[in-house]
Amino acid sequence: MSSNAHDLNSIRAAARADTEVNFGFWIYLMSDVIIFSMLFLVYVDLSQRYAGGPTAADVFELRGVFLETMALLLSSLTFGMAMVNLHQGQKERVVIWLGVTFVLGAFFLGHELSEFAHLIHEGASFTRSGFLSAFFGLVGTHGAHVFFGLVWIVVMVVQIKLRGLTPPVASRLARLSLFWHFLDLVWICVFSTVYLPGVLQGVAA
Amino acid sequence: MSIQTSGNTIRRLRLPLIVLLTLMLAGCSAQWFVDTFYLNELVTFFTAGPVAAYQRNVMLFTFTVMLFVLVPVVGFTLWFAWHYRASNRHNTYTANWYHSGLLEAFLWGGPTVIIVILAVLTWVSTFDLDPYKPLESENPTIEVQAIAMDWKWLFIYPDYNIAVVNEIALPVDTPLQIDLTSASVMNAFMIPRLGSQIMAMSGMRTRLHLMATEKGEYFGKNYQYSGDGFAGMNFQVHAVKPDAFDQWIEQARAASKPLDIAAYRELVKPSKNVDPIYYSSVRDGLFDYVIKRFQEGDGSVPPPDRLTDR
Amino acid sequence: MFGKLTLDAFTHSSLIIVFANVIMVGTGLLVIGLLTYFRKWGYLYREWFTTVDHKKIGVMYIFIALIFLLRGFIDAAMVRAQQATAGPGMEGYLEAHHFAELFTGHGTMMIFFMAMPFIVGLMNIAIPLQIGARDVSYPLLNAISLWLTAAAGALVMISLLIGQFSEAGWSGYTPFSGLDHSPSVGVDYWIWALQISGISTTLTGVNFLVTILKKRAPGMSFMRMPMFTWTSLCTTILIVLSFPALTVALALLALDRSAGTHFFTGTMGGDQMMYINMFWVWGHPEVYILVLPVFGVFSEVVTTYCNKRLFGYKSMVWATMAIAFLSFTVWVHHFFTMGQDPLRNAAFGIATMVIAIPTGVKIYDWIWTMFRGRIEFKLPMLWTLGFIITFTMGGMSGVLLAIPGADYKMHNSLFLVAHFHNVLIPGTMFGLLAGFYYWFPKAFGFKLDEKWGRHSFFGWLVGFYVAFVPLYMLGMMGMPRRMASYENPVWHFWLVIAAIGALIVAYGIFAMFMQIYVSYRDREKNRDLSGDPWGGRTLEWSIASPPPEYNFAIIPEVHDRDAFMYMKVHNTAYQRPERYEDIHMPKSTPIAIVIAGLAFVFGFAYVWHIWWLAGLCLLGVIGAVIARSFNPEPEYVIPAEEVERTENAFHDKVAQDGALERMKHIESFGDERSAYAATPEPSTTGTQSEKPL
Repeated sequence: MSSNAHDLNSIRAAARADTEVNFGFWIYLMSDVIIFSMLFLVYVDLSQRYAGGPTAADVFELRGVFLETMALLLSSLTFGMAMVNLHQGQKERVVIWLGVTFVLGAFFLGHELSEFAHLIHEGASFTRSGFLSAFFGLVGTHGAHVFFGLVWIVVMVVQIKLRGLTPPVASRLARLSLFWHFLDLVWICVFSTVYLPGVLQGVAA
Repeated sequence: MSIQTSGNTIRRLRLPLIVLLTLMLAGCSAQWFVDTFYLNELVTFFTAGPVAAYQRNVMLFTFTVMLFVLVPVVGFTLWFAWHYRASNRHNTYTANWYHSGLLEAFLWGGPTVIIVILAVLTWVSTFDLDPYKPLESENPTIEVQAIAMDWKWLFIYPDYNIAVVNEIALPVDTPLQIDLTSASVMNAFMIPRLGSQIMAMSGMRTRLHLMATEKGEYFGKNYQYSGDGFAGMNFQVHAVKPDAFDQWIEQARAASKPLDIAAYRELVKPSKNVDPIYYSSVRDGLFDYVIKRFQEGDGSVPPPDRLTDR
Repeated sequence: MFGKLTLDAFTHSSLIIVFANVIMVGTGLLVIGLLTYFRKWGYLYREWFTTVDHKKIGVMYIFIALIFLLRGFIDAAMVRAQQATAGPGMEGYLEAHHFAELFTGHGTMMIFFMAMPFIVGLMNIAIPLQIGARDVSYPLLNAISLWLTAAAGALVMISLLIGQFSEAGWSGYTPFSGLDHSPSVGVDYWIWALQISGISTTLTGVNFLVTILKKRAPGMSFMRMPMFTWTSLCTTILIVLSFPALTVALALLALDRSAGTHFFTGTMGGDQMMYINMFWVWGHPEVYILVLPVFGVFSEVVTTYCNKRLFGYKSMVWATMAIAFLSFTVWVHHFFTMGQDPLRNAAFGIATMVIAIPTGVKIYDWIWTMFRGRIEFKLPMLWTLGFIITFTMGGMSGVLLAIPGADYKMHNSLFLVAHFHNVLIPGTMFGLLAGFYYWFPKAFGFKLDEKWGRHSFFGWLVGFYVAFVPLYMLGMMGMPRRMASYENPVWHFWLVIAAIGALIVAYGIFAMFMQIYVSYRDREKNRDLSGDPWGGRTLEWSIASPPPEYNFAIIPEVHDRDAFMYMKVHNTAYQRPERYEDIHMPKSTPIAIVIAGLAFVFGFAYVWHIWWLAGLCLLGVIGAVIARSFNPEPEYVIPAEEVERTENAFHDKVAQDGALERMKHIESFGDERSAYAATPEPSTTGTQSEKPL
């Protein structure tokens, strides 16, 4: 049993946020923050440039976005559960919670894609106006990040199954966790910069 | 080793060099320099209007202040480099000296003082030279609307209902208010002897005020690279007496064709090295229409028969 | 199947381009042929293509930089030649669009493929050694960065052969770079070359930031870091925070061009100004990314060849950080003429000027380092002196341009071109060449030739003034930049002089390549046995030249800013430890070159809209990363006995070189042995190895 405790310690050490490799991931996230802030700036700049096309109030529908948001917020919680179990060395539970996170993330992405398809079908495609380009650009980049997060979750589940909870796997889970929470944070900004003002505008009008 | 050799060479050649330089300087007057290096063509300093003159003064003042940086830097560098060369054994050597509070206070303080002076200059001059600010004059301001195209300038005089390509006339001592936009890529309008450069962008309106105080022929250009015809995108500026200006207006009015939508659609097609073209009249509101077409459409102006939105 | 790619892409109307292609392809085939004939492929693959060793990666970066220095300079010379022959009544020899490709190519190549790789190369060679580390934090990522830069450079190269390069200027202003106005593939090549090299630089930034923060030897606190490490740290911060802005700007521009979006189109609600803001939000910090590490080089050079501690180290550090911070607050000065309100212009103008304060402090600190020093006029010191004087003039014209009122007049004129060459040539090029000479023996084990180096220096220095003083004059005569032809006879006079200046610079570049050749030929004569050819002060000089793959057999302990000088003064340098230990090093791997190859094909496929291929390559990159994650960090072990053999050989050479003897005469560090009077010979720390002791 003592060797098990030793494993647990090395797993916990590898999952710390300040190891050399995880620290580098923080730095990478900083650069990603800049990418999103640029896209937010673009959106704010172009958000009134409808070029005679549909306005924000015309295209946003808050109910679906609310579901999306709840799914993503919940997925942060479930990922947190996976990390708690990682610290306990509970391999099966880590996989289960990762699975739940994947389902929530996939729901979010699927909903977003159907929203995009709906908009394009309605003639509110990204080629219609500066506003719609900026909308698709910002929300789409976030969606692409979620997609890569989902791929990453799958890879991690496979690695846990194949290798068990080794320190390298734990270290990677720690970075995936940072990435996933970061996406959640970005989404909160998307919600309050894109959807909320857009809908409020419609209400005011 | 080689430093010493070159030092000796310089010492040996010192006298002949001085003689040669004195002879050269005596032989060539200031005029010779001006002629040889075309110094009278430095349009930045030979200005013909209040805006450009202000800018010249800003530049000369800044240059003078900056000499207080340049001269010590060059002087100290050359002096220290020469004096503390390794082969000079007669100087002090303080290998471990690396800090002096007083000296560093000066090193931070000196540049700070200079920058504070220049910051005040910047603040004041930027507001004075704001291109949107009307110029003071006894004469009423003349309005001009400039549209940059591939690769020529269209100038509309709405008060006189004429338009000209690649030519501007203005009466001396009369302010010009130029509104700018582009029917193509980004361009930059400048008449160097009169003053500021300002950019012309599609779907947007910028404004520039200029005035000529001296009669003359000046050149104006697009300064922002805009493609194949960029180099030939020049225009002539006639700063003339008021009666000559009226004549020029009459000459334009006598032109054979008006600038209607059809003529505009023809003109806006890319062309290079365009000679001046005069238009006897201008379709009302053309300038604003061009801006709007870029804001809400693809920038093209529809044929006259399909023109519904104005 | 092949998207927009047809045979037409291979046909060129200009004989000059055909000729350039023949030379390029011919040289390429010749090199491939020679490598095959001498059976060097295996060696190259094992030792270079798959390596993750930071020193070799640094060397390859600089190799790329030198190739693009040549290409970038040829473009510059052709621009000068065109303007010297396209005056009134003359035709010139180029068409306007070819001229535009040249000035675009010159700017793009010099910034992205000459200066950046050169800087990253020097960082790679010097920083792990300066901080006493065995490698960077992420060696594989480092290799990926290198090969991505190479892939991006290859895209620029192949644009000469297939299709064309951008005509929109190195800054690619919208809407000119949009599809409506630049329908050719040139802008796409430009986008993807910059995008791939930008991603490579971002990865390098992350890598070195972590390396410097996490891998310093024990005892090396922040205030004991060598100046080059400090300035590189600030540069990496700038890279991480600014390059993503370029990434986004280019990505959105690519979408505008290929997906029909309206981010920057200037029609349908797109905002052309947004691109220009975003470009300079990256572009202005980029200027300091190029200049700050080079400032660090100058600091190293000045202290070493003045045989003195660096004056005002703390001021230098604070000044560097101030410059790094301020560099994010000035981007609007690139477009004062855009017609915004005077409040904004004045604020950004003043912010720009404020940068002159810390920059001035740095210059004065170098000058006062010379004060009461023992200055040896080795080549890097000459570059430094040339830099200080020339750069100060460039700074002056910069302050002038920082005043919006003056900028209204000088913007887009040749005055501006003269200004930024006047800061970037001394501020970056001179320093890079100084650093090249300074660290060359460390990387290769022999010193560079001094005589040809001086020829190169004077070629660059004199050529610079002859080429760019005319551009200042022309700017004040109202000549815009980027003119393929003109009618003013007065301009012609000055442009001919500028072309002569370019010829003199050409001699400087020729002399530099001669220097490399002559040094290689005479390498046995110029061997650096002690690993410390200049009487160095920082840790990289405490180990062999070239260093063993593990750099430090024993990670050193740092007691002073000038860590190695401290060891020499306290007689603790070159000590043999009682026993060595096994050293774990990362294994070579071909994955970096595979990823970069896929990135190159992806870029090429995107340029020509070969979507299936682009998609496959993207999948390939993702697949390679995932595959690697299943087999991470393979290492190999260097056994203690082998380490001991290598180190003993080094110590024998040190003794043979007389470095131990010299150590006793160190006077440079002050304290109890600053016995200047006792040692009448000039500067014993200069330690030219030929000097008998």
